[in-house]
Amino acid sequence: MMKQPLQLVFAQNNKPLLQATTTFESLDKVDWQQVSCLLLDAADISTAYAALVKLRQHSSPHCYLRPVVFVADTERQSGWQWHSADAVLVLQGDQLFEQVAVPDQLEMINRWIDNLPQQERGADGHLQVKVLRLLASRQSTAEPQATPTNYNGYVYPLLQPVFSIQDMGVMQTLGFLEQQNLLSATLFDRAHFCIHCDSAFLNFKETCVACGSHDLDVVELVHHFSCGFTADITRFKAGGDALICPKCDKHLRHIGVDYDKPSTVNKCRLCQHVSQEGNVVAKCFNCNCTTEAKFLDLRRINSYKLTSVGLNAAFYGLKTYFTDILENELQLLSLREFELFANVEAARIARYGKSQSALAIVRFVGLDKIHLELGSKAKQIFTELAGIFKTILRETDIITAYNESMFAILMPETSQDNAALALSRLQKSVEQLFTENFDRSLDIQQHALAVTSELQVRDALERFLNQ
Amino acid sequence: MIEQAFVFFINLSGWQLLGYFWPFFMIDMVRYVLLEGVVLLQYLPQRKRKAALYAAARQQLFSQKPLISVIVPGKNEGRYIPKLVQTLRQQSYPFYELIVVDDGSDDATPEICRELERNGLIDCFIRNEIRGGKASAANTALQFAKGRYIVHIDADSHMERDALETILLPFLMDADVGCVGGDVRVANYEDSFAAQIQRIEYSKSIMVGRTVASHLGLLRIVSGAYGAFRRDILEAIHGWDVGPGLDGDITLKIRKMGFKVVHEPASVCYTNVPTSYTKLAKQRYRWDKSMIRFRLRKHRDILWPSESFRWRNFITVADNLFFNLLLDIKWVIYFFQIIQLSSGYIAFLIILNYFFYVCANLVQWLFSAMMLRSLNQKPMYQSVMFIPLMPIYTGTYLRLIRTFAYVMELLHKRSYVDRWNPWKVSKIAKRNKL
Repeated sequence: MMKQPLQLVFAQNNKPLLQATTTFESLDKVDWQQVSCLLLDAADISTAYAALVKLRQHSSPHCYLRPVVFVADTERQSGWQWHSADAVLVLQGDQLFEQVAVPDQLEMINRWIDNLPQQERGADGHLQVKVLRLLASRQSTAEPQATPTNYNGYVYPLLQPVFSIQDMGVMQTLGFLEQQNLLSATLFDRAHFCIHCDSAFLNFKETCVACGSHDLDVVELVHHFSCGFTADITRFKAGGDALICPKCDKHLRHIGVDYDKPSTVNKCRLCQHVSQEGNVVAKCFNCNCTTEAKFLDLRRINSYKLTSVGLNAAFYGLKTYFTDILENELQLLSLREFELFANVEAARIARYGKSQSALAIVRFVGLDKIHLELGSKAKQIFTELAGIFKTILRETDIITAYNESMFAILMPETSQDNAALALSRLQKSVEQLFTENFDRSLDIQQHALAVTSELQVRDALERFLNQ
Repeated sequence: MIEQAFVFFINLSGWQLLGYFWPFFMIDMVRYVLLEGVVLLQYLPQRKRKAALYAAARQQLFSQKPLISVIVPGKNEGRYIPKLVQTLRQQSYPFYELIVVDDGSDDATPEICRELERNGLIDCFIRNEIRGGKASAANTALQFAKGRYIVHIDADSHMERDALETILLPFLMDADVGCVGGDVRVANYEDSFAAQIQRIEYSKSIMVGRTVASHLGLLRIVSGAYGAFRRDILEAIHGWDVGPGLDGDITLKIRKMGFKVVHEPASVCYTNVPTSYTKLAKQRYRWDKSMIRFRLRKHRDILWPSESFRWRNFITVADNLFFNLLLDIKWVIYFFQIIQLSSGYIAFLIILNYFFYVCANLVQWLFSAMMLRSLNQKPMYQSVMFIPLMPIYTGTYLRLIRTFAYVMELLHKRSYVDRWNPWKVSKIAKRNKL
């Protein structure tokens, strides 16, 4: 039987659909509701993986989320690519490809896809959402795997196929999602990376602190108790099973009784410099650059799990996300940019002393749970909330999100009292929105403080959060 | 009472004066006042006449630019190293390398020194994880020293700006000089009364006493706190032997090789001394025991006729043993003499003896002031107010410690159980009678 790299298994009769003419371009025409999983012939793993990459990079969640099974003709499977599929099945003896029994648990993934809200089933090119959905649909964590085939040493097999060369790297994307509180991280490993090319393949070596040569001798020091003579071991003559002290000609037989070895030193063969502390450098196998170890990029390699907010975002998309809405409506700044503005404002006030500005902090307690309660309808509430923000704030006000439910507003030329007044108006409007439309309330915490040269935005937010 | 004592004194004949106060007039005044005074009267003008020689030596030093290895062995002394490094960087002679050996410290010494090494302020820092004692640490440093001269200095010391330069001059003025002692002075004299008293003692015994001994060719010790050695000589004797008292021991070994040992009062180093009398007693107890261990036991061959016998070495050790060890019992004899023959005048004798010793200390203080003036340094005028207390300090306090140390070392060899050395080293030193 002629095998194709792509085979579709129908859900209804579980029979494989073999179409020699099926191409990736024609995947759009497939009735995905009828497809239980995709079987990829993995006799050649690189071809199968290339096919998987094409599937995962498809824009439709029906396609890129669909379970994929590698069908192998051998038990020997080496390489992380084997872990990128949802399952690996091995052909038994002369078993035919189409007779492979697909595991039932893959149906769980199909059910998750079927439960996706209707408006979210369309084309989705949002890389972050794809990552969240892959994890959510498989109820899985993103586990890194060390590999010599990837130049930065680690891959996330399940997520790797989603990314093309042009995309932001997997690690950066996961890090970004963690910052957004959509994923929670658990340390898996720590690794050094080349600052020039990001490669993790580094050759660490000690070099002479004086001349930089790596031609070092490691020399043991020997201390003879009896006469106090201390020198490197090569100065002691060998006499049978003992060393002979050059100072007193006595035999050093027993370590700890006649002598000890107090330390070792590095002796440079080139410049004769002696030191116990070599300068550790790393030579990159990829770009050949040599970098001092202290300048290397030391990163945490994490495994990632979806948070409840991340689960919601996976289901309803990032467009229903409050910060996403605020970002569109009010041009939400990053915290770092916000801090820069606050610092400039504080410096301006300190210099001229003629005006005053305020920092307002507001926290909606339990905002993240609204997603869980209201699903896609949460978007409407968030749009209303953003509208309130827009009404109360002026064009000169700057806003940032510390997390999904806490926001900081820099109000130039506004006193602390006036900022508190604006916040109370915001609170009143939000309470009105919730009580009148949703028959429930939203607890709001707020605080206003004057912008001074001592103000540290991040500290102020931390203190407020910990109150 | 003082008036009566004075009347008693002026009514004494010459022979009576000698009979009642023989320890002072026949021994201490002769040895420590007259002799030192006479030698200084010869030394100070002679040093001035040698100014051209010193200048030539200095010129030779800066044309040859020999490398000096400054070695600093020690345990738990990291906190002092930055100040020492700073004074070294200010030295007028910049051609030196600094080697610090940490003898198994259990404080922040390794971190401090590694940081200084990274910043290029220490040329070589070696940490011995297992403590081996001061000799082992100094020998470790010697192993890696590249300089023609080795300057051994304590970590809690700092130097005058021209100290390194001046300590090298004697080597260049006389090829037979094997080691040179620097002038160790008290850095922390303002910290306590005990330190203030030691300041006077150091000026008497080191600045004046060692200069005189050096001039007579009888110097028996180059202080471990600050001394310079020729590296070829140290390598020939394979460095320091197990202490305590390793500084006196190595000086005698160098003397035995036929080299001269010189004190250079112009090369000044300041060190921290014990600030309490308890700590001071422990330090002196250790020093005094080493006198018995090294001079009386290890180097007693200096006193016997042999092929390598040298009169100067003999006098060096004999002087030490006679005035410090043997005459230590003169006070016992004197005490019984007073009780037996002059019990009616005890109070007068004590008052007059005290007065004589205060006067002797004052004269010695004047000697030190003269020396400082001749070296273009400022005399320690304020310290004169402490002179009246010196007889109690040297005559009673130090004498009691010294006597106790001699007895303990002679009878029980207590220096071998001193915690100054690791027990494993002390045990072997005792077994091998080192």
